[in-house]
Amino acid sequence: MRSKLQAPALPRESVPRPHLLDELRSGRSSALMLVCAPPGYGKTTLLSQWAEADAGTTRFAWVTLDEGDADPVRFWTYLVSALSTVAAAAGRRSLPALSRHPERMMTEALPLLMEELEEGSQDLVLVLEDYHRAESSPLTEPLAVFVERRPRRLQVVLSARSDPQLPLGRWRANGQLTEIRADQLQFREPEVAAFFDRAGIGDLSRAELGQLTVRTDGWPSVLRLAAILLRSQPDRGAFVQAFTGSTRQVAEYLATDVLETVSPGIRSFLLRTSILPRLCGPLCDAVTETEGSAATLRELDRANLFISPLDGDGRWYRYHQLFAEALRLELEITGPHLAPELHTRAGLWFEREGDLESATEHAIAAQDTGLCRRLILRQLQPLTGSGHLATIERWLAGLSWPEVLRDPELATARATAAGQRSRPDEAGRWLDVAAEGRRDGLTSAGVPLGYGVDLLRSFFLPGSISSAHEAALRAVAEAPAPFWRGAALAGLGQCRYLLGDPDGAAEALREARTLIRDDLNMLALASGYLALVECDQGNPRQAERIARRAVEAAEAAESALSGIGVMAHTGLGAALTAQGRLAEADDRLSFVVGLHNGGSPSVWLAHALLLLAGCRYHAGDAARAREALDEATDTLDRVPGPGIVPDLAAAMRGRLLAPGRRAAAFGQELSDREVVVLRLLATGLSQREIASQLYISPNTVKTHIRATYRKLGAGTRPQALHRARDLGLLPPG
Amino acid sequence: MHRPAGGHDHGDMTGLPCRIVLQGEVSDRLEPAFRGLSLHRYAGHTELRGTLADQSELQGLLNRLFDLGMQIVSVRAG
Repeated sequence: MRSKLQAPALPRESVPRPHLLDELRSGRSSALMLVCAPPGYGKTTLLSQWAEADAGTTRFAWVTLDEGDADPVRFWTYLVSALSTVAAAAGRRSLPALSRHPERMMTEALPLLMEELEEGSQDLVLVLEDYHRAESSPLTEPLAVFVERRPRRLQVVLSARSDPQLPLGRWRANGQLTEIRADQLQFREPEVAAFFDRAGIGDLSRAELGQLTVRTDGWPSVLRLAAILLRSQPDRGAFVQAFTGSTRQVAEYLATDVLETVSPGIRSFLLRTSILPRLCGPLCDAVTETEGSAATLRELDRANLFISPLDGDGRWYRYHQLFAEALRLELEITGPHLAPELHTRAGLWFEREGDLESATEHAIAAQDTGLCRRLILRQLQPLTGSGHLATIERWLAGLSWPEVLRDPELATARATAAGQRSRPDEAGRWLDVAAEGRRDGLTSAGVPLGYGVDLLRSFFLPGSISSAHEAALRAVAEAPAPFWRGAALAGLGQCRYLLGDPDGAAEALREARTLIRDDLNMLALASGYLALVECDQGNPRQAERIARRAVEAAEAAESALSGIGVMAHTGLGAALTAQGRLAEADDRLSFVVGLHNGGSPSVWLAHALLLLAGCRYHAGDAARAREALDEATDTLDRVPGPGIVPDLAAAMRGRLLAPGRRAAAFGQELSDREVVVLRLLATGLSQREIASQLYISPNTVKTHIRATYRKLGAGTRPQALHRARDLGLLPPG
Repeated sequence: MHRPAGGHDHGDMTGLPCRIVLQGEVSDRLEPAFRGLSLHRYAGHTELRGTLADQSELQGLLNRLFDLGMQIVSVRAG
């Protein structure tokens, strides 16, 4: 987490701004303190000053955000980790909940975090620095809720280059927003004077200070550039005249002039390292292919030229943003071919250091297809497994140059990301791209490309189930190692189940489960389908054990199940229904439906909806059962070749349309409650179990059962069930 | 978002005519940064003119100008 959670060190010559610190403190009563201004207005410096000034009374949690934090799991992990440095209880339960169920952020991790923050009484400040870098729509809603419901002792401060997409209008209207914006951050003349004084330029006249203030609009970072230039000017008055008389853009004017004041070696160093969001000696050595960069960085820092340290031990630095931008532009102008090569060197350095994510960012910036391929495929499994799918997706979206769009192996990565998001159609299009590669070419996972494509077809079902089945058979035949055979068998099991071959499915799935223990998503896929088979064969308890073990293995590894892995929840839902635990089953299946609903129409979605309809049918809620069934039918209409799932839908419809509660022989109708009790009786539950399922007393259950038996003309449970089946009140046993 | 290479979509773009006016005068040497737009300076302002690919490219350019600390006076696109 290197220095992301540390307040940046305070620049040596920073100008005190007591009125702004008061402004910040006064924001304690509002929901959000927004510090919003273009780069170079001293947002970070101001917040660092505040953290230093109030260290005695207030504890500051700090997160410096970057583009990678657009991934909600990562964003919240950093946020909670930062809070845990100032509030002992923070993160204890919310962090594990977050990594296990990122999709339930709003209902699980967030409420836990609020509770944790209630413990303790010290005033806290949470600074989210550079929020604009991470901003993405999935962050918005939970963050707004967090800000609104935060405990009173916590003040949330957000610094950004432009207004964030939070409900600012509403907060402003309610007096819930305090803002410090560019015009407040601009240096007034006395501050400009203090600034130059601290920079060792104390001999400017009032008039000159006034001119500089007007010319720069009191923009701190531009003043900093002016100070660098002024130090080397023999005739300061002449410089001020020329500078204030020029109509050139101030930042450009100063940046280009500043570059002329440094030695060619430093100039080259600055230009080449400007592509780095963070700098340290060894990294700069690698990028510039020189030695002694650490000393250069220390020297630049000491001379207060362009960089500031990120941590206390002087290892990591960053450029002042405005200057970095000017440097990058200069690099583009003077050596347009250089940037990609520099990014590749940075990428390779980060790869050697084991920071694969930073490496990937640079590989993408370099448009280095080979390096991107190697890095992304190395991370695909761990990241999709741990719920960091958003990171992978952001990278893949960045891989948009023609060569990389045709890369077969990256196409399999794109198919995996799409499949894990329940978008089989998109997965299929990428698999078609991948299939254009050499079938026997080895991928970086060491498997033949053709095998990989077939495996993914059998997992994500992009076309008809029967075509996926053929792909699964090929994959089983070509599997290069036992683990990969297990993977292919899991895919085969899925296809066989969906084609109406439960015995064949069970056989494949049992073998699969012994071979793929280490891959939680694949294991969950196989376990989910095996649980469904067990349910169909009348072993719901065994089904529950199988599915629950897969879900728990993922939870123990603090890994969220996605896409294929969600099948374990589906299997568990079916097992719960079969045992009459209908409320639990409804929750579980609704969760699965919600996940698949985020994607495109899929067999998975249709199937989960049917199970949900079945669960509601058993609960006696015909209306909502019908709703789920209609949605399932609707989905099936938009899915090619969905195997036996339409038959399941037709059977379900038959049951729902069956003459519901007519007890024909005696002409007496069963009440809704009696039908529910009857269906629960059919699952083998005891009277006491039924009572606790329905939240009624055992005596009431007895009353219902007696009435049901009477209306059906039955004396015993088997008689009643037999009669009910004849009448179509229960599905045939 | 990302889409398969099968569906190339580069050829059929008509482009987005743009005029962006900046505060201050930008020198010609910065021209490579402006994605093919041409520079015209007058009376303490600089106008960038030309055609960009689409709104996303315009957004990227505006961000870049912003990051460079350039003050945008007006933008007309389309």
